[in-house]
Amino acid sequence: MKNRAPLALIEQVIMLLVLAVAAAVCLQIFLWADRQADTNSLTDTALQQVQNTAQVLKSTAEPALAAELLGGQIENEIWIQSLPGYEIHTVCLDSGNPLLGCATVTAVQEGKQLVQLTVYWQEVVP
Amino acid sequence: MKIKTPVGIGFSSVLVIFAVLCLTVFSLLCVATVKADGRLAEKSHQAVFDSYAADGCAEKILAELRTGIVPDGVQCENGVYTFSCAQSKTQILCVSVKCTDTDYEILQWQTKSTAQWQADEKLHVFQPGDEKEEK
Repeated sequence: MKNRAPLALIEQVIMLLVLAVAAAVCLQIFLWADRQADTNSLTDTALQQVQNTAQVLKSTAEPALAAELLGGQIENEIWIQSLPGYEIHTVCLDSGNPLLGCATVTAVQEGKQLVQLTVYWQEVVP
Repeated sequence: MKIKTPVGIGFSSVLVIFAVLCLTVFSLLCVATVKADGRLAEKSHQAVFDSYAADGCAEKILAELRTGIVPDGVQCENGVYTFSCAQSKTQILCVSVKCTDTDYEILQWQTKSTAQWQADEKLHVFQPGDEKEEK
């Protein structure tokens, strides 16, 4: 007479432990993948907006006019556009040539730089 | 007297092994997809950065031409200045500008491919003259 009930119980417990460990690991992987996908999507969107800003700067050749067109506020000579999840900071630089305008357009999320473009345009001679 | 267990020994093991295998495969597929998307996004971002870098280089040269300085690598013919800026391993930005004392006119501002290209002629593509040949 052989009692196989303890063996079955031990097997159930071990299998439950194995399933719990595997599920925990895979769940962490799924969460990481989801966060990465969100980051990639946000970076893509931010780059598009940075490109928009850069193109408006090139076409208007006047940062003040570009700020009027795209909105945002100017604080300490930095043009800031607030967008969902990130901000776009535009800073005009001195290119060294009076006929060449220059600015850096940066997408920033919680102090961390997502993307940055440096854009140049021809200044209009008055 | 034989005591029977409600479920056969080993059945739950098979189920759990199957579940763990499914979870593992799906999580690996998930990671592979995200990494591939990340690589693609990185390449497209780099293409944009390269485009703006070449554009900036061309704008700098144009600004120098407007001040009367002709940088190295710029060719001039009948008042038309032609130069190019490298954009990537297979692309260059070709620019042609007509500069006068007071103004400038952009004749060409075009990205061109420098990669070698070979036509694939394995398939016979229908040409308008083929009808007459068949008759």
